[in-house]
Amino acid sequence: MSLSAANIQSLAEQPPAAAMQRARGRGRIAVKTLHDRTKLDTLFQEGCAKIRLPRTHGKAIEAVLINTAGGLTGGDDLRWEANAEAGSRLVLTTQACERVYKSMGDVAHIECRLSAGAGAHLDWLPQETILFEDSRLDRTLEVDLDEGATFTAVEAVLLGRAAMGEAARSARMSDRWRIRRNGRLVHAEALRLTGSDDERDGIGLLAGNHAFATVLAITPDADRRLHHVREILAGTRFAAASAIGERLVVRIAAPSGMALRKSLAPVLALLSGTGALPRLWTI
Amino acid sequence: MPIPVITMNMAGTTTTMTEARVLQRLLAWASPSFPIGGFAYSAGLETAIARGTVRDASASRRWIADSIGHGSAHNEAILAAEACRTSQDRQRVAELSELCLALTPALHRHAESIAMGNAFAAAVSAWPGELTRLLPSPCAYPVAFGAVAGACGIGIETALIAYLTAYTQAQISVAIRLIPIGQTQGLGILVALEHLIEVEVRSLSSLTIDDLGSAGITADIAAMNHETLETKIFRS
Repeated sequence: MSLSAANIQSLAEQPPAAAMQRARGRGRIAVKTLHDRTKLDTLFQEGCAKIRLPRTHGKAIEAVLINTAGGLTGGDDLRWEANAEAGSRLVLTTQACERVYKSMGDVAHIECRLSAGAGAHLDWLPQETILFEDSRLDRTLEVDLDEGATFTAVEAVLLGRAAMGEAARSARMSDRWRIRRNGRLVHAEALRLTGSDDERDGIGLLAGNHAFATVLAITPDADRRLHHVREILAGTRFAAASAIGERLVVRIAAPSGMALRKSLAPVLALLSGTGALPRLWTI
Repeated sequence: MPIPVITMNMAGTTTTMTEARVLQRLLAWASPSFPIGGFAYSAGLETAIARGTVRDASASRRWIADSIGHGSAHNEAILAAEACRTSQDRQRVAELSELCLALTPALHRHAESIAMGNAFAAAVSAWPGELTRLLPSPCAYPVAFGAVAGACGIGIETALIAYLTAYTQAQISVAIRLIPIGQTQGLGILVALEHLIEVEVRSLSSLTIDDLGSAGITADIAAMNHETLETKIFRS
């Protein structure tokens, strides 16, 4: 295709925001209990956010979150909301790893708001997020738990694709969690990677690892589960768990995504409400 | 950094904090002999030494610098600075303390923050101004330090220089006792980190809790694994 002077002129006049399509997605799901079974209450999806509900045989509804844009880049904006009403059981997972590609300056946003009613259980088990070179991601996770609700969550991050020899040293990310029980803050996370070599190599920071994860379980038997988690993680170089009251936190760092998953999978199977990993994790 | 003369206004009374008073109080509160039991805690450094991650003065310096620049001490300094800024707002100070404890997932570090914070709150009752009343119970240590300094009219930068220098000295004393390294090597670490502490503190005046963020994953892991160390001298 040849470009006339007029075409070149019109291209030059296009603002960058219009030239680059920003992905925007909103997905919302709510489940409730009916005759001791969890049933779908509402489902809303807009833009690149899709939610699929594969048939499951357990008591829980499993919802698969899909970003049809096939990854995120600067300026993209994805929001997920989920509510598990009193007594219900909901598992949220993703169809695939979320890829965050190089940004031209803007930040990609993922915002998740979850709530669980009295006695409900919610699993937030997205697959790993892969940060590419020069990517920028801001992620927030806000969770409200009613009396007696329990909650399990994971966020795992891979810095570049190890198989491609990538380390994504310039990737930037912030991750902010606020987990509340009856309005009271019971757990928070504030992770920040600024693209500095100090962070990637620091002996008290990432210590050269290319993958890391945090697992959280809010459960009345945190102490008992801590014992099992420690058995699973025994022998893993960068891994630990601790329990304070009803909160159990696990942190793992690993040289590669594959090594991370190897220690992460049994921990998640132990701590998830269904006692197993979502099927999509194992395909 | 100049230490300003400040006018304090609390409970309807106006007191002038002279340069001498600011210095006297910060030297007392940041002193290892201030009765808050700081000598009993290593903030995970004992685990790092036991596992061989930190085995000399150079690694000790890097461990401490990582925490101040990008780790948990960075987050705690942001929270202390915010508490200093909003010290007159009791509810805000309580929220900051709750956030500080929610951000601390390791049992022993969590206990360290509460024990030192509560002891700090009790100890400052020796000074006039009903300073203890500003603080929630339990209170996270960084928030207690920041809020009390703020309530006395001490500036954020001055207070945080004292806070982070005391933190650094406490960490160095862990390395001196456990690795062990010599006193002179320990002082060498302190000298080497003076500039970093100054740069960190200057950045704090423009940071709010929206800027919280740590990359201290392996330090968190060390702090958690303190629970499973077979022999330990420190409580965290």
